[in-house]
Amino acid sequence: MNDVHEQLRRDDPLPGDLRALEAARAELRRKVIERSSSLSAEPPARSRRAALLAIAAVLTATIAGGVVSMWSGSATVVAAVRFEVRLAEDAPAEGLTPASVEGSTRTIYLHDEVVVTNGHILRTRVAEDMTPGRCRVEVVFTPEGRTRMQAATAGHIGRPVAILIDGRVVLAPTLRAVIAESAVITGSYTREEAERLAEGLRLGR
Amino acid sequence: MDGHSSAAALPIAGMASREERLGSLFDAHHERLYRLARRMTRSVDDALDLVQETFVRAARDPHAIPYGTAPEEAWLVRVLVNVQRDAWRRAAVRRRFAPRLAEPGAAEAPQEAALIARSVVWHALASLPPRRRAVVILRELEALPVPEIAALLGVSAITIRWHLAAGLRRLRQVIADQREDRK
Repeated sequence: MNDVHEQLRRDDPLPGDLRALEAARAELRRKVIERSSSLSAEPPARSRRAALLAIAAVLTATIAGGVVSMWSGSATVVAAVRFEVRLAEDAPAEGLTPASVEGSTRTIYLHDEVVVTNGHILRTRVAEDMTPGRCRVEVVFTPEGRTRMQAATAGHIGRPVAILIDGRVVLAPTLRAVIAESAVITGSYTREEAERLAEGLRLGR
Repeated sequence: MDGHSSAAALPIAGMASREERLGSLFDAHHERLYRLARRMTRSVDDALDLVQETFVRAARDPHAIPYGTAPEEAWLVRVLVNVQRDAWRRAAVRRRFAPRLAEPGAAEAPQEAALIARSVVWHALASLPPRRRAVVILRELEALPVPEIAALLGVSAITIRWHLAAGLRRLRQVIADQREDRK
């Protein structure tokens, strides 16, 4: 046993080859991101089979949503939640509507046009947040939603975008890159609250 | 929906594009993946290719990868081992249908040359199936406890112990054979 361990350690190539990673890191990262961007540019449904599967998934989700609605009278009541993403500005201007961001003293100024709403949600998912015991809700957009998000955010980098839940601005992050596929709604949600929000977003479609 | 009231207070609040998500995965985990990849492959280039292919698979749907350092790491390590296993299987099929390619001095020659400087135990390690190879590396070189390896690879601790025992048995056999040859 010790012979194996000692020989493995003695001839371990890693210590000598760590520098190779240092040299290749930037290039490797660039290639990975480039590949990711080329995937983003591909049509969402890459084949007939993929398209059919996507349709099947949406239909299943819709049917499941209907079942939850039917049962909601006697079990846990889940209300539909109105979801909107709108572009916003940090400074007032004509035609913009002031709105305060929940949980802060910040005021932003909303554009009237709604970029995406519940109808542009393909699916939602609850995931563990970085804060232990807290959850986030990931919202994945439909192909139309992706197109709208991409078009709206492309010219808005460095400025805020607002996520509204039932008309209240819950998040207004500054755009750092074009957003197309999905949004992540982070909040100090318990899993139950996050599940309720995710369900409400789906019901609101 | 009490959670809304504190939503904006979180520093990570916001939206992430595919590129941002992938970039953050790369920054957080590429070194860890390279450490494993370099020990699982025969050269720096092979290791970098393996890391790149792992992230390319992640790029297909980076938001589907569970959030959090440990779940992300486990997801990526499993993909890395699977990528290596796919390559290993393809190579096995090639050897089966074109046996002459596997003969010494044929197609493997450049790789064999690169192995000369490595000890026989590393040569034997490279011949283990990828998951077993990963288990031996994680236990013997990274000194991870068995339960941690099990969590990382998504299999039971019993399976890990079985792979570890079989892998070490094979490596010990190789060392014993080498000693016999020297006598």
